[in-house]
Amino acid sequence: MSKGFLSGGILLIILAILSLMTGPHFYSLTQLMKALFHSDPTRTVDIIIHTSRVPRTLLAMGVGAFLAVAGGLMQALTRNPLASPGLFGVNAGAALFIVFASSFFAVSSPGSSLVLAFGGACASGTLVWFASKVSNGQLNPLRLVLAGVAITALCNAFTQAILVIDQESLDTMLFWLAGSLARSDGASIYPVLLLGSVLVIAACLFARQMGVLSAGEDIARGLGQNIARVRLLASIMVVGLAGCAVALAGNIGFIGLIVPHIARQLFGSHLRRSLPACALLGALLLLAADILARIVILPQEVPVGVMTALMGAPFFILLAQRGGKYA
Amino acid sequence: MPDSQIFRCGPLQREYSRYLLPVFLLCCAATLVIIISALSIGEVVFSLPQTLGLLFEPDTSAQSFILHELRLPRVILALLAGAGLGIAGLIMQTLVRNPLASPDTLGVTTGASVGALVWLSFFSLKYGSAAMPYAAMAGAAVAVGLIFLLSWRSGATPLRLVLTGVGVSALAGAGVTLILVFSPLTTTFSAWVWLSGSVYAASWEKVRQLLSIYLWALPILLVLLRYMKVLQLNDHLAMGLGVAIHPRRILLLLACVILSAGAISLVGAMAFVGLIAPHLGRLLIRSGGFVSQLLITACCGGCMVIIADLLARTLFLPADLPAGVFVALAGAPLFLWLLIRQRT
Amino acid sequence: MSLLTKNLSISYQQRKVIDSLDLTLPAQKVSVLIGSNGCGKSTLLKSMARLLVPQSGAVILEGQDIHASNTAQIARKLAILPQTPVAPEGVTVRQLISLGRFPYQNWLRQWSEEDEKQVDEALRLTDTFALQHSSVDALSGGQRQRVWIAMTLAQDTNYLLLDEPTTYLDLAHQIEILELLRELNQQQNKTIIMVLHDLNLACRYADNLVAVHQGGIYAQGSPQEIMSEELVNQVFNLRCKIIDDPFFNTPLCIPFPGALNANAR
Repeated sequence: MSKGFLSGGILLIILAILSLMTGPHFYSLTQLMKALFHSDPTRTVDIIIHTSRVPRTLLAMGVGAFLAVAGGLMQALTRNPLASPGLFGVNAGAALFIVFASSFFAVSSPGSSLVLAFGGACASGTLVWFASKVSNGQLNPLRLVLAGVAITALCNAFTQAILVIDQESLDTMLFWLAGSLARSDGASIYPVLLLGSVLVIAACLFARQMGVLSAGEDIARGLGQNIARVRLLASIMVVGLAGCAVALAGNIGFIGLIVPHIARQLFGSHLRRSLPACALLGALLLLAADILARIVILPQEVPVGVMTALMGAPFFILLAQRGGKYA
Repeated sequence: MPDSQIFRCGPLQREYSRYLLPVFLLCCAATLVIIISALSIGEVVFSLPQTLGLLFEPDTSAQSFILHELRLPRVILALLAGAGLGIAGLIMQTLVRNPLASPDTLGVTTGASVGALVWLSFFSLKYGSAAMPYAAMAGAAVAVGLIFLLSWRSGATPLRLVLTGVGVSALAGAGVTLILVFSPLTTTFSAWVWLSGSVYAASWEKVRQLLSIYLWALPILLVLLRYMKVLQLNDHLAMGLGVAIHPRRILLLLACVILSAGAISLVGAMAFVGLIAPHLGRLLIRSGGFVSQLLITACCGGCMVIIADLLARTLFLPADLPAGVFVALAGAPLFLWLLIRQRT
Repeated sequence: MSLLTKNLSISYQQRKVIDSLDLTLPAQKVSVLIGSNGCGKSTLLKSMARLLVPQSGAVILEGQDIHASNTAQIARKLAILPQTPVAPEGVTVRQLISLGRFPYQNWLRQWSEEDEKQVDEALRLTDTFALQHSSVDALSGGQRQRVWIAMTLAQDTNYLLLDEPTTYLDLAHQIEILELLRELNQQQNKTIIMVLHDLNLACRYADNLVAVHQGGIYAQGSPQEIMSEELVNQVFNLRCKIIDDPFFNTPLCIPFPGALNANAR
């Protein structure tokens, strides 16, 4: 198993280097090394690498890891292999807050949109959580999905309404809706990346508890677990991770849905191993998708959310052919 | 207290729930009330006698024009589209045995969206938008065909169709996003409106088109409707009762696709109706057989869209917003309330 | 006129569950399939009801290949109650039982007086007449099982196949159901074929006991003929003592702890 992590880590470093080299202008390895270790603030190459490519690469790795771990937690929480972090309505809530603020208050700086997106994600996540509780305060997985669908639709409806009334915002929203790792500011992403990384580590430490819960409610209760508290903590982590991801990069789909499946196949279904594996694989996948997104239709970019859907959907269809054991 | 009546007429023998007639009358009454209201209210408000007068005695006045050429086709189109989507949703939820199924589960909505947007963004500037419904139908057909083709070899069970549908929908969704991002600015906004779902620019021609599409699904529904009660049981029970479930299920799903693709291609990607209308119907009438369920779902779906359109074109006058936006605004809180009410 | 299999082979996920099986079940008798978990008795029952398609071989019902015949026609001769049947939400007892008449209905004639009569008869035989307008969800386990059996009775067939009809029922309800099935066999000459878990109840109610073991038939015959400690040891991997039930004169199996090689004394 640790061999798997080692090879994964090496692959990650290789892809990271590739990512730093890729762009409208390709840089060679020597240029890259010089920029990283002997940086000269007046050289264009160095400026671009430091202000644009390094943040982007870190963003891709971070967001990929956050989404994948959120997905792994979500699938364990709902005991449903079709669950994804978007079920908590985080994408829809984030979009709504951003669009609302930009249309009615003309707020559009990247830093504030980060905060808004995160706030929106948490708001809808909380709403969904409350709507899905049954009378004794327990969280019911099926109701969670239903509530998430309803609240997502509600947020989307409000968002659509605002965009129809205020047509100017439509264009700026579109690229966000498609998912983009090309943030124009470097500095404000680091606090969010840090928060997300802390949550990933917390999730991996929490994995054992989640593993017990996913064995079944009765078994978990029999083992003395406080189910309500575990579910609450897991939900907070999912919303936090997904919120960070959405705030940083917009609406990127499929990573949260597909990566946990791959992680389980390669590293076994024990959460203690598959959650860290999710983080690694998520980072790898999004990085690869982003590199491809930058190359495929040079000099333009494919929105990375589209790329992940194009990569993830065929895989998902393959899963469907393999058998209904994912019922 | 028997709850069914036997109806005989020559070789025809049917059993009907005693709820059927009251349900039918209730649906007709409610729908009529809502239609008349929708016809009366708008930028120009008619009084009730005025509306009824204009309805039955059209003349050449401007008000008659507004009623007969602008509002009436719009209301009828909304009714038909909502009813079709509702029925498709009900059949799908029954066949797939999942309360979250909707016509989009089979990729109809996203497939039609791709077709419509491709036409809108790349062909409409040259060839106009009259052919857009056909492009949308083509897109839906491709998506659904792809789903069935992919599931065929390993057996087209409901679960496999749904999973494949999720994948194909996601692919189509990526296509939609791609087109939106790269489309010329002039068409982006119309694309966005189409994606929200709208009965704006309804015409009698569109009503005719929708009815002619629905006509294809009618024979399937008439012949196979009686199988619905058996198809609700698990597979082995249904097979034990001598029903060849797979071909029947596929044909009924085809009917769903025809109904929903037709509706969507003419009013845009109006989401949520197919998902919610069956639940609303079940809330109102719990028992009474499948035909009653069908009627009440069609009524709920149709009225939902009419009311949504009414709100959309009057709340923000003089702006005429897409009805699809208000469908979710009305439906989602209702759905949540339903959900919360079921807490125990 | 009987139900038999000819060289029947069924595989499930690349594993051969039933292997080239020839089995004849006598008509108008109660046959019970017994065997350990996973031995294939459920699979055998389902393929005899044409619910599963065999890889090779055939199931012959009254001289005709069951898989080549029209499925609605078969439904008029053979009814099956699978394990864990699920009723749609909110359906009443009478509505559920009426579904059993489906094989006799077509587009023109969707309900007839004969259907009405059969449903009433099914309600009477299973003693569920008083429950007919209640919702199925509100019934107890025993009542619900009687309703499912009533549905298969409404199908008015000569052959009745049941897959573990008594699992999840308490002992009183188990006896109730088995007595009902015996009555149906004796008074209406129905051929009953069922899978049972409880060995002793199987011995008491079966005319013909079929021990299924590793995809084949270990033994078949009346309980008195075939029940032996050797059989229980081989088929169930269990040490036991067989005595005569002092009230019903059928074999009674008293299990002993400690499986594996009971013959080592």
